[in-house]
Amino acid sequence: MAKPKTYRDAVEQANALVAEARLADPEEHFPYKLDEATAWLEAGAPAGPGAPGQLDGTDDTSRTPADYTSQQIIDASADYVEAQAAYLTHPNDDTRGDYESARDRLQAARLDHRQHRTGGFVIGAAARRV
Amino acid sequence: MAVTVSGLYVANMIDVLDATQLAIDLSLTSHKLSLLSNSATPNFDTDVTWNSTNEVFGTGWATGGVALSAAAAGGTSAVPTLTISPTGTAMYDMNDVAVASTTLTNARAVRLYADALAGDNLIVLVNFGADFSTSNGTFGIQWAAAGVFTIDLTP
Repeated sequence: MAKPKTYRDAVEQANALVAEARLADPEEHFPYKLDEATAWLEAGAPAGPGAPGQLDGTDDTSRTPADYTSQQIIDASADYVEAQAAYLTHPNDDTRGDYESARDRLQAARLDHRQHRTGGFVIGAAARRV
Repeated sequence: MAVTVSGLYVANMIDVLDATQLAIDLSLTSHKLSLLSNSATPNFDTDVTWNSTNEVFGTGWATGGVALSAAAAGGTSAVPTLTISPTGTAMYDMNDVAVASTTLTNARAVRLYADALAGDNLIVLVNFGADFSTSNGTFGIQWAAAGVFTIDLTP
């Protein structure tokens, strides 16, 4: 790789290297684990926090996976991660447009879920208050 | 000694924007969520680096925290995003956090920090407003409809 002559060149090279490293980083989320998320939601197992000394979390049905996500969010997450990877691989106006569209669909899915879920949480943890 | 408010870590936000060029990309999923007890007293102007003082950790939630890449549904990514919402405002949001099989005591707040950077730079702290515990159960964070945080850029 040629040594950059200008700040602009340096930024472009750095961005390309960062994107390449990010896509290869096992700590990142490529590809999205669509099957695992879907299976977790469909299983519907108890997802409550439990209560120390009183109730084991595996028996706590005060929360279920549906309190935390929806199939719409899961599908939109997969689309977003795929579009993000495409943009990082080939950054251009088309891939950026797809990336931003996928992002907006994911955000709409989150908002829909949060406005319709029960439980009345406003902010913060869903673990049991002590 | 208490957590009283939520906030962004100001010194790091400045370093993102000046010649320091601190590389905090909010769409990364290598950032970690670390729980904090109410014994802590955050200083948003001077706190820069994550450390384990007053950290809450335990079974299912290791010291150092949980990466966003595994913090949501069934151990999947929380998929952090930045959007415009509402007009003139940048909103940082992610899927709800749900980490199963945890046993934790008295978590009062969560800090998000950049684990991929050498400085483990702090990004944001969210105050739960009360202490929360789990017993072999799911530690969940259901974010508000307005996201994790917003920055009004056109006040």
